[in-house]
Amino acid sequence: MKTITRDGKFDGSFRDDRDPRIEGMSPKERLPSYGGNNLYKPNRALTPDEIEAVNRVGTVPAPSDKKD
Amino acid sequence: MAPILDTITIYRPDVFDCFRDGVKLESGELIDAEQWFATAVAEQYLDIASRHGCRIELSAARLEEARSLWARDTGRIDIKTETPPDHFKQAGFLVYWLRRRVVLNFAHRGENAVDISEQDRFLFGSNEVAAFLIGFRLCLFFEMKHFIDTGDHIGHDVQKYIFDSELKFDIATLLKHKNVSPHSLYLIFRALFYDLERPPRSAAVLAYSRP
Repeated sequence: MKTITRDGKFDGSFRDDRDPRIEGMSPKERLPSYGGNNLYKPNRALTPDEIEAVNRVGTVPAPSDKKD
Repeated sequence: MAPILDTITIYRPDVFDCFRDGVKLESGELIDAEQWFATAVAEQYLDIASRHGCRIELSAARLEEARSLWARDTGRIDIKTETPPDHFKQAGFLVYWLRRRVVLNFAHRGENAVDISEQDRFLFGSNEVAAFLIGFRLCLFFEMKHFIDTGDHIGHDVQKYIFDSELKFDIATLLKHKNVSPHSLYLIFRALFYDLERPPRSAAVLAYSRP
């Protein structure tokens, strides 16, 4: 039987998880874009918390700007 | 012709060929691309998770989908010369598809003595952070390999850079919630290794390998 990784070295860290919810989607629908990179709802809108997280990026001082 | 190395690792100059075509071992045995990729990339995912004190489970199906989509995209790049895409471009596409296919089923806290806040930052966007770090490691290796002897094992040097928490938060947030394209990732990696004072270009790269 063919192993996932060479000699089954890392096979314990894998699961062949073909999920019927995903398999039933069209190839395009399977590709998540916005919305938490979510396989099941690939095109959902961002939640308020997610929007806040996005807005926070680039608003905190970079390490090089911080005082020791 | 250089001898074929039997080691399965992302730290070899022909890694992208191995991802695409697999490898014929010196014994004559063939390792197909799917298994070679799964072995080399799983090792990286497990190392990254371990360094954050976390444990992960990977999806075999989606990892192979990511490899196939990467191979499709990098194989159809319209180039007028025989020059293949550089490592920044290859890594950009790879990171894009690894994160977009969500190859991590789940990640959870391990038992390692790692700062809980570090674990939290990783768990917040483990799929995105791990994919980005794999791309970063590939680029760093390709930039370093010009300055080291062939056959040196530099994986440990490359793998110790896992970024600080704030950068990981930014990577996780933007890759997860915004549409970061393969070409954007190419630019990020290329700019990251651009030496402002070249020549010699080696200065910035050697700073990574000789802290």
